[in-house]
Amino acid sequence: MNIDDDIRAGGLDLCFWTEPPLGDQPTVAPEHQPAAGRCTTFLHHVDFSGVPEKTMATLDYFLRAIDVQIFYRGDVPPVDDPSSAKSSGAGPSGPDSSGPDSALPGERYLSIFGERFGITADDLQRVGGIDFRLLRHRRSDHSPGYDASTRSVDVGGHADIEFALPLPAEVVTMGDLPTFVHRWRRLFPPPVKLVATISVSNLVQGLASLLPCQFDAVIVDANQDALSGLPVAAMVRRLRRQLDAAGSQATKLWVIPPPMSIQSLAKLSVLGADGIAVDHLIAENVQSLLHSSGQQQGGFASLLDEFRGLLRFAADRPVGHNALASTDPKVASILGLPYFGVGMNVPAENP
Amino acid sequence: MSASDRSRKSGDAGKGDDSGIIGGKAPATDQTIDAGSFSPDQLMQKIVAQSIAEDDSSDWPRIALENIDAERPLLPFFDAGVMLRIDSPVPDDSFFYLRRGEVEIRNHVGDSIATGMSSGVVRIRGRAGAGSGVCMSGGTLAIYQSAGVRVGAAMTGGGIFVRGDVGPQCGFASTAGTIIVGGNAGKDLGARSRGAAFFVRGEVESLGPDIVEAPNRKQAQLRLSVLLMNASISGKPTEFKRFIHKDELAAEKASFGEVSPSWR
Repeated sequence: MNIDDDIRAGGLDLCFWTEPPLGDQPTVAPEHQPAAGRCTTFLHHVDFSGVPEKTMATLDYFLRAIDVQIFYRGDVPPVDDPSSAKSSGAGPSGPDSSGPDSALPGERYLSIFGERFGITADDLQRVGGIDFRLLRHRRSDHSPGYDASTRSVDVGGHADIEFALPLPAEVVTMGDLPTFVHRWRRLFPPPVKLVATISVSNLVQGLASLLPCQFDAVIVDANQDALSGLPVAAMVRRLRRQLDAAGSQATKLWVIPPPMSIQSLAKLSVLGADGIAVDHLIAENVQSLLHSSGQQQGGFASLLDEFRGLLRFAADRPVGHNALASTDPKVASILGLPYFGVGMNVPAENP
Repeated sequence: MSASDRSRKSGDAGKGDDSGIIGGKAPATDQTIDAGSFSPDQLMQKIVAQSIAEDDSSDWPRIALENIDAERPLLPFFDAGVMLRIDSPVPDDSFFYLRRGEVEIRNHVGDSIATGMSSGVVRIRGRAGAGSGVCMSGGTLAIYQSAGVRVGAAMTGGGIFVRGDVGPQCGFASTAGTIIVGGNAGKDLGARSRGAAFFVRGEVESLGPDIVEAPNRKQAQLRLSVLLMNASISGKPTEFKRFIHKDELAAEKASFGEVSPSWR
């Protein structure tokens, strides 16, 4: 049983890596280089065929190290093996889809910004999940049609590759979002997942409109707004409660947190996060993994062990129960937690 | 401009029958399909079975669709060498990411018609709702009455012709393609757009930031003529004002004349 099985059993969906580094990567020592191939990171379909082998090997190495949810070559049929593609099932386009992409798996997640530049009918017909990126900042190297040599996106004209529309092109105000999502749900009925990735600032402005959307999951990118850990924790707590109150208990809440300790990451799970991005955890240890001695790499391994232990602990605590407390009255008040300290006053929490 | 002038310039004026639908005699069809008696997949398969691989649409079979489900998007991802005719209203999100085919709708349509279309032709004899032709990358969308907000938003190619008026933010965030408005345009025409061209015959309520009126040169008129022809409209390109991004106008001026001589 790996970490993901452990965590899922307890309620946390996964740890995920939201923005794997595909650009300028240091190289990996040869003994650590696994085979390069096509893989799909969670939620972000990335065609790795154009990624340099060294970069691919680096990515692969890190993902193996931390057990990030990812579909490896063993799960995804290789492009040059059509027979395995057929056996893996096909997407909404049917089993007889043809063309160069026919070996891609039927289950596929598509991240789309407001303008949907580069998104084709082919992309949408075989989709397993759609992630609406309600964000300003575009990750250009995730955009279809991105040319790494010119650092531009070929969309048939000029496109601002840094800033994207924060809402789908046909949505004028955040208030129109529920209607838009309802209509896309008719176009893409279950089991296709509809997901929204939203920044904290957009969330604050549009929470009332987001709640009735009934997304399968909401991913809050708290890494964009230079927040510290405490406001993020409070946001997770409140958003989970508000989603539940709006009848969206089934909506998963995933969080891309700012840099924080593994203990704090685990606490987010207790406070209501169903998934936690581990980008910073990986990034902070990249150098030690790449250029370090075996002893330093062992240090990272023990950090991971501790993180796994914390997540298992957190996963055993149902959200809404008094699994956490604070010795700081201010923190306890902000997060709605019991206060354990001088003049101890343990509030009865409303589950 | 007086109200009567605006009415005269608007493409809707005096063109419709009692139902407000513009259009002459309906073309004859080879076959009529009762859409209500098929599931969406079955309907698609039935139409695709009639499809012809030839690019010349004059050889394509003509199919009339009846009994359209008003609650379900009609034929998303349509890709067939046929000419469809639909006489009833068409619901929101129909012909989503259309890839091939010619569609004539002799009635009004809902919001987001032909979103993301990459090829083919859609002609709508009635009104169109908001977001018509959003994200389209090719083909021609012709609306013979008026259209709502954000027509052609984020389009990256193709052409849209609206005979009547368009709502606010027409061509919002578009990067290429052409939008022709026979009537008047609402607020923020071309807001956040860069690369697309707008031709308006009537009045523009306001232009988006950095969008300017540009000389309607011969080359632009030619481009306009082709789109008018594709939309089956007879019109004079000289009657239209052209609007583009100010940087493109500057680039045009810089390359105009003998700096880039014609090879002829």
